[in-house]
Amino acid sequence: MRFLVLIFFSMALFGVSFLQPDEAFKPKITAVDEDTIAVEIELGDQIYLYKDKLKIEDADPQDGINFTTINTATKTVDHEGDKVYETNPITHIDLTESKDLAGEQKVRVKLSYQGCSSAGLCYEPQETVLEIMVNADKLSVADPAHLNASAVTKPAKEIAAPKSESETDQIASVIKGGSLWFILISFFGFGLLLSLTPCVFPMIPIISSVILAQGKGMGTKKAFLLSLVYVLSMAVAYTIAGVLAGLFGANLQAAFQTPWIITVFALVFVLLSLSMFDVYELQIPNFIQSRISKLGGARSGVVGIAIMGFLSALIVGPCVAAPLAGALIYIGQTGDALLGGAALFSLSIGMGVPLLIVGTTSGRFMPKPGMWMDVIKAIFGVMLLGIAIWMMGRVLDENTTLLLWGGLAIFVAINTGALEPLGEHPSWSSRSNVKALGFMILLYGISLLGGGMAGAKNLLHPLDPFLSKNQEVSAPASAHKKFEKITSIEELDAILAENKGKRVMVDFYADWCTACKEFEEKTFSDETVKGAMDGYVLVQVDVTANDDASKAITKKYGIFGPPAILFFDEKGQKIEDATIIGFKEPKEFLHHLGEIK
Amino acid sequence: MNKIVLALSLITSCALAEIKWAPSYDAALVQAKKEKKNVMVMLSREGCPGCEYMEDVVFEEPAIEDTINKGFVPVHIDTQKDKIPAGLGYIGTPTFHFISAKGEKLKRHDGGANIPTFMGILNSIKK
Repeated sequence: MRFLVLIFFSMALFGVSFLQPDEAFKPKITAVDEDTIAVEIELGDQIYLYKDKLKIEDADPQDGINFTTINTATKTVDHEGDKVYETNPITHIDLTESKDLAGEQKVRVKLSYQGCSSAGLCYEPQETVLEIMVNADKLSVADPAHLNASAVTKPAKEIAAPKSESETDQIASVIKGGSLWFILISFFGFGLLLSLTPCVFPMIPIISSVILAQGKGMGTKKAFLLSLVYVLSMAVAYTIAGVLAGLFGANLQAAFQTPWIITVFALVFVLLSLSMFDVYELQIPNFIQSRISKLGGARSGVVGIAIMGFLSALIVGPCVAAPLAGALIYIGQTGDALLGGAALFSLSIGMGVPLLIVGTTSGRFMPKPGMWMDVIKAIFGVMLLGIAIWMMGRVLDENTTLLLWGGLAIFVAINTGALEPLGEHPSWSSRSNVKALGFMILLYGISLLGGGMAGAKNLLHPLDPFLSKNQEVSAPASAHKKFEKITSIEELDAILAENKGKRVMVDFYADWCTACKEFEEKTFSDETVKGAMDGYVLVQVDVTANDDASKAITKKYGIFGPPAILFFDEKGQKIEDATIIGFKEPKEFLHHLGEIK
Repeated sequence: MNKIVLALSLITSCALAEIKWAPSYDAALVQAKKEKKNVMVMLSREGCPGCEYMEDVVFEEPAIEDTINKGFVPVHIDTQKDKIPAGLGYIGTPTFHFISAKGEKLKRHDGGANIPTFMGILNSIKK
């Protein structure tokens, strides 16, 4: 859904056109009376000027005419922490003469300023010199005490020290750093699981015997080294595949934005999962397999083992093929060759661990194959289905996705035997434990389906649609925070008029804005935040449509778009410095609420 | 099981996140040639609300991040600190220039834009 909205709106409206700087700011100079001149900067539509960037100086300090006072009385408003002029700033300059001048004299005023358009563009600092003729005969002679202090307005404060890295940046980099390890460890784990699937596991003793055959009666150390050579060369093959997937995937990246491509890939995952449930077998054709193994077997020694390792990566069994293809598609999506290589290396090392153990201990240590291997295979199947649903989550709306998850959960539950009778299995046997687990999954799946049908969107709270209604009936005071949804200036004005005497919080929201959803899911649903918002009338302006009404209301309040939260006082006036732009965690949000006077 | 898949999808979205800015305009052109992408130049300055909105909201939007990382080599030019590459005109910040790997100017956009509008701009640039 979100994508459809995006595509639809990409066609509408290609930005706003901005005034050229000389249209945005039109400075002019006029004589007010005999010894006063005025500098006015006429501001274009939606243009504002920073107070501390407005500097007015005598361009010729030594010409005998001094600027005694420079005074800008125009009212400023607070704009995200800076004082700005939204109406034409007018500056009065009182003139005196410091030496005897006669007749008409030219006075030059150096003017510099910087401002922005509230439609989202900041102009570069502008500088200009204005000229006016004054009659020097009429000017009074400055008293000497005044002279030194005269020339300049107080130097405006420089804009605050460079901002430290924004919090979101920090968080993002932390997550990124963390997720790399997470990915590597997960892939290692998947590798380990893969090697325990029914079609790879039986190969382990065979491969280890090939290694052992290289040197009869060799020591543990040599056995370990040979196994390591084998595993590493297998890892090389997978790493190459991962890098290729990353590189190749990078070119496909744009395509992954398109709903139908996402759908196709999700279907591929579903097909791959079917092979995990033994619906069909995915395998490299036999004649290729045998040719490859001959190639490796032809050589002996370390080189032979290395070749064997490299090639055996290519002859993956039916169980490995599907998850491996899945992993490669996943890596391809990230478009990151380095990550791809690292992830697949990690996966292959995971796959090699049992081999290392078996090879080193000459097969003395070996888990017994059995049913559990099929379970691992099924786990992979479910995982592939999960990835398919996750991918579809980008195309489908949250509610439909939730229903799909519900379906998957029930499917898993039934297949783990959640509803099978326990039969002669004793209490506390593994079968009864699995059944208990399956039953929980079943209940969760049913909640998802049930809640989903009632419109639930949150995977962690599928029963919300039922709960909120009940709460409203039983305890209206503590009910789930409801925002009044509106879309236009008129509606907002009406609400502000109705709620004189109360504070109003206005949240700008859109479906296409992930940060807005974060606000709803994390911040507004936080219990402490709910309590703190009690004193406010809650209004949500939905600008999803991005139409004229949406643009008018964002323009009126000088914000670019969602997420943004405005606060209005008891008189219905916007509290100027209280506006929030961008996502805030519950803690920050609470702090902000506390700061509002 | 669901948890694992959830965790997996969580990792994926994190791995995909974050726009990869090139260190300089020249480096961006070289990289664009190599990766057959277009260069997206963002002229910005500190303290410009439009620039901050782009950074804090629009560039944090996963769909925008994806589209930029996939089709563009993005690079920042600070109008106060960096040399402005020849030919990149602007009347203020933020200003976006889209340049092909061959150096042809494809599009210029003045000012900030909200998510769907910016997505539209990105999508309007042909490969």
